Amino acid sequence: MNQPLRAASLALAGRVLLLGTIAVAAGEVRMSAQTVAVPEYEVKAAFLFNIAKYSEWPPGSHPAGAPIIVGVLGEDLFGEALKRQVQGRSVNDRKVVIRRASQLSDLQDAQIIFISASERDRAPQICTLAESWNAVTVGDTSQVEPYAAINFAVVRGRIVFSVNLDAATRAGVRISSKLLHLARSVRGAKATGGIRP
Amino acid sequence: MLQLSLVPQFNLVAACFSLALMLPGLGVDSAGAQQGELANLSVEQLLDLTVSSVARREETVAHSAAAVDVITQEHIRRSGALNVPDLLRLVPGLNVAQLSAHGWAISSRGFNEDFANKLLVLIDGRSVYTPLFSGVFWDVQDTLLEDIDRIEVIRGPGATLWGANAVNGVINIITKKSAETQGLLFSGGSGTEERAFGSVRYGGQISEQLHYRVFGKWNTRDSSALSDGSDAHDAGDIARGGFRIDWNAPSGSFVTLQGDLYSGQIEERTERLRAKHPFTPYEELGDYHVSGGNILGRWTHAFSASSEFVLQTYYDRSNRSTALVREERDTFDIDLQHRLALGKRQTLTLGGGYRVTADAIASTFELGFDPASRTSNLLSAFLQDEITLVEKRLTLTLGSKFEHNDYTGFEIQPSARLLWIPASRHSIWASVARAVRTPSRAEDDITLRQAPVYPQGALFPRAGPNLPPSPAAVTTVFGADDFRSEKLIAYEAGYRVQVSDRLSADLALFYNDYDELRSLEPNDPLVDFTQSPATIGVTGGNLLEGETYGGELSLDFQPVKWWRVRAGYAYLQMNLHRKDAGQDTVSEYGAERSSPRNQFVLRSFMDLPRGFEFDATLRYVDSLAAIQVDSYVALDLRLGWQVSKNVEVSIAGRNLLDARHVESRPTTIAGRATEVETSVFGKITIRF
Repeated sequence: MNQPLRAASLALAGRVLLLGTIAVAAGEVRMSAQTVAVPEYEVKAAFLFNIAKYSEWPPGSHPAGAPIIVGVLGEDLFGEALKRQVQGRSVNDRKVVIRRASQLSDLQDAQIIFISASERDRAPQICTLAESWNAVTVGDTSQVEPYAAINFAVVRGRIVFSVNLDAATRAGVRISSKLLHLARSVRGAKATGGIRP
Repeated sequence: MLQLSLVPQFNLVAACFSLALMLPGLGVDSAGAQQGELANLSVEQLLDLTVSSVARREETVAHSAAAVDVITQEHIRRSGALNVPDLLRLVPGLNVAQLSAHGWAISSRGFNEDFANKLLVLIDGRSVYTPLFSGVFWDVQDTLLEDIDRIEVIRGPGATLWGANAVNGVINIITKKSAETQGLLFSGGSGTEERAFGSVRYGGQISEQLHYRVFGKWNTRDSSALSDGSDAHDAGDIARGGFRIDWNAPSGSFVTLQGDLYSGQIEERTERLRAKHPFTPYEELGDYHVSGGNILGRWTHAFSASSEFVLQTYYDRSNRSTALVREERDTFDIDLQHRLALGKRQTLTLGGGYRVTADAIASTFELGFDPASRTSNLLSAFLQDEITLVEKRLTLTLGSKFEHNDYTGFEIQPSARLLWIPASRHSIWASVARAVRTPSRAEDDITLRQAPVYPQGALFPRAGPNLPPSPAAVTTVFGADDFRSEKLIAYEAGYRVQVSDRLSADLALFYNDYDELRSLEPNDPLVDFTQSPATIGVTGGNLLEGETYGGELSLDFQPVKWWRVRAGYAYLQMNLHRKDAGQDTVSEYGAERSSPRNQFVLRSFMDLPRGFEFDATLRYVDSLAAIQVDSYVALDLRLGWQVSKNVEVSIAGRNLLDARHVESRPTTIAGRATEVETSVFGKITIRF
């Protein structure tokens, strides 16, 4: 690269950096007014409760009246959020309880399994096994999306979720049309068929 | 007075009012979230909430008892880098020095040189480390960058899991599963150094459970410059293609089949020696050729939720034909790994593997291998137990690798790692590990002849008053059949903290104790006149030892939602010593002062309005006294624009602060240093 071109590109870079700094200063002012944004995992915890609310497990898959177990597999990013948003609440007179585990074997009776990003490499096997005991698998990264029944993403500062009907069907779980309508995308062979009432 | 005191009150009211406006109809604030009111909201309302995310480091990093860094796909996309070595520059503690347009010296925590040999590199579980010199031919290690899921970089030994040669670090390049790379992707561009580059990938599905992708990639790179600015004669073209098929079987098996093929032609400038009296040196301009391919199969099966096994096998072939040497290599590898939970507190991983590598090497007068062809076997087994001492708080990982190789026999590489999580936002770890670097083919079998008067930077004894200046004598480096493994005992500790939602820090410290490091010992007598040509001989030995210590600090800071900053600093001190019988002062000094003592990297990522992104990387690398390389500061900038959902364009400039600079010099095999030039390129990526 020749000298004048380099000088010009440097000058440009300097100007962009300066503009950036000003923009940051302005942004800081704007951001301070938006501190009411809710912590990401607080909202995801609330979503997990709604998944419990809007999923229908096959009859006989779990003992009647037994609690709905929401398992968190791998690194726990929720902190106290699950306790605040989910623990102790009930869905159809069934208590919702939280269970954290580093091993899938500790979640063999869970109805909902949240797969933390730390477990993303093993997502296909986790989902296959979880489906065999009728659990709704919930992913938290794009790497898990192809395998889990429901997957979260953050788009422009808001939580969105996608639904994989094939995965839900394999687990024998019926996901309410309420969730399907609000999903960012619904995939699966029957996505255009009759399951969406 | 009264009016004045009213003003702030009014502002307060206005502020509250505007806050309320921002959450129309929800009546939710942070306090509400704390009290668990979010679960009372409808799904529609939840979807409407603005969330604040913690600016944290990669998930796999936070809870590992090792110095780990992860380069994510987002980092790759925003780096403005077009090859793997340039991506590795972003990791504090790694030293990446470009040797030529297609050559790099890369190491972790010291010992960097043109044939750096203490770093293990894997692409999707396939080792790309060559047994020829225990290093990596970086010119051929590449894949479609858009399909890389992440690059995990472990500084420090990883021998318990990965085996011999994972001494100072392990680099794991992991590509995405086919299900995540569906559709058509085209990416291409042109620039001043990267003259033209293009990639095409198509990913499809055969059934709901069976996904595939195929890709092709090609690039042509301009030559770098010599110190006088002239053409270094190292331009080249490389083409590659590959596929991956993933089958997510309903039985709990996940099967992957993948393969790659590549071929390239690259200019080379070689310092040669006439094979006849008077053995005068001369420079030869030509091309070298590289080609190769590999096929890999991996079967992962979950027997149950507490027991999973992985069977992986691959075949790899590589050809390299240069002016000095022609090497053909075939490698076959099979590995089995079984992970099972033992009760609630223990996870046991055990495994075994076998690797055979066979080569055929055509020698020249300057560079010979005896025997010309050799087959080496490597048998290995490992056992690791992850024990939860205190639930969620304290984990101890004990393990060892047991290997048998054809050069040195049995090698044992144990490690102990402790992870303590005193509170949710803090983790502290410490480890002790032993690792070895087994002899390479070159160290055992090489005969390297060079002219006795060397260009600057050559590691070998220079012609001096003690050495005959006669051109009839050549310096010769001999491999040694009794060359032993280099040994390391590494002590490491680290602390990671999420200071606030916007700031996290990661500190790693190490003290490495090396023994039986490679030295080049003068023959006795040093000059052997009985041979033709007369030989000034040095032979590989293990008469160096030493300590290195230092640390790496990285910070992640997100002052505002749309601006993220990462800073990394690495410090390294190397103290090598000759053992009593050792006479190699050149390697001692050379190794100590060929890796930078201080390195600094600052990265900034800005998300601007209308889909624009502005990213900058500032790098400082300390001077290398042994090879006359000055410290340098480099600036890389990138401006990206997401034109639409499917199209992204970017323009990037690299090394913008100087016209060109030297980063390293060839030391093992004499050659001329080349300089890295400022470059600019434009790129377009289209996805359907």
